[in-house]
Amino acid sequence: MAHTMSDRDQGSDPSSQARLYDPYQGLQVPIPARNVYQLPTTPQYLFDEEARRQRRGWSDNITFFTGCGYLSGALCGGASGLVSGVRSFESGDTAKLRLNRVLNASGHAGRAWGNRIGIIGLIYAGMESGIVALRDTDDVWNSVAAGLGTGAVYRAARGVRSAAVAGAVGGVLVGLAVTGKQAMKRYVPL
Amino acid sequence: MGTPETSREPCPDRILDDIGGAFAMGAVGGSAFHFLKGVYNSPGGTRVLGGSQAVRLNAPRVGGSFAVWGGLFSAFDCTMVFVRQKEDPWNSIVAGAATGGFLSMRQGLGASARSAAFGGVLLALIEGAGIMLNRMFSAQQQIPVLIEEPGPNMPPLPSFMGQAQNMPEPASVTGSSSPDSGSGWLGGWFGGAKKESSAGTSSGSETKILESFDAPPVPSFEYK
Repeated sequence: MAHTMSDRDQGSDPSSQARLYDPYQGLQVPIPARNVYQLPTTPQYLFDEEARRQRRGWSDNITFFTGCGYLSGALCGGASGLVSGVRSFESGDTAKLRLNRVLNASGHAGRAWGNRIGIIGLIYAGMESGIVALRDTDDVWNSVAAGLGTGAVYRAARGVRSAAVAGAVGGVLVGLAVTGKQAMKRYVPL
Repeated sequence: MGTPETSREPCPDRILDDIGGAFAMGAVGGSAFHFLKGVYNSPGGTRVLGGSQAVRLNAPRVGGSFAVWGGLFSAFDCTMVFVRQKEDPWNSIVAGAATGGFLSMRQGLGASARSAAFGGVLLALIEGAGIMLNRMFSAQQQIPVLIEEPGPNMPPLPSFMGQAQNMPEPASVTGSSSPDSGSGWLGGWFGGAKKESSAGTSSGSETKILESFDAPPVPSFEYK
């Protein structure tokens, strides 16, 4: 039997992760009995041990977390900069001057926040890949430890107490995010 | 062009990938560069501290500018792919020019045009280098395959030789029965050459004589 990557969390239930495929969909073919096939939605492996060991590679991890972090930081920072730029309009401003204010404010805030969240994403991705490679398991504790480490490294320059607080905050946030995602997958019918 | 196995993600996810990859490259490379620069530029006992301070100040900025360049380039590239419905090196070149122009638009039209030209030329060089590397790599892989190719060409030849052999043969027989020199030699040469080549090519295998050279009738694919 082919072992799929998500066998261990869904209890080897192929029907819940199959995609139904009808080869003759939309075609007028005079075939009396049309079969509908169940195609797998995840990669299938021959050996269970191999399927259990397949995870996101470190480069995928990095591009995903850094990219999402930078993009979300830039968009949110840009939006908040837009708001503050519009708020700074003065009464005698020409259109060119207003455009300049808005571009400056949104660009400045967008770049600053994008850089910060991007760096946090990069550190988190690197730490999580490293911890997963060390422990060779797939827990939530890997992510929590990576969150602790990220907070600590990010605020390391401000002193030990600041680093400890930031690490705790990071660990709690990541733990909430991971358990929230698993709870959503199980309970929310999306 | 080549098989699409080695190509990247499909277009919308490609932008996110490129932003993340570019930021990571810029941050790591910028960290290394600014650390060394900070170590070099700081006083005696505080070199490592000076280097790490320089990294904290500059690495996010470098990473951010790489990410902006990479993200804009990827977005323009995906737009070109969507507009032209093709995957080409030309998409990358035009996207590089557009990125360079877009990022300098606030400095006016002249600066924008210069940056666009610079970006386009840079991308053209990169794509050209990529294409040449691809050609060298696939040329290396083709050489061992070509040596084995004459194999399939051998069997069709004996059948042709076999048919052509029938016609000169009566001529060479009559030629050799008549006085020796002249036509005997001639017939012998032609018949002998044909016999030699057919004997050489059909070593061990039977030569079949086709009635005609027409192809067999093409099967019709009507569904009955």
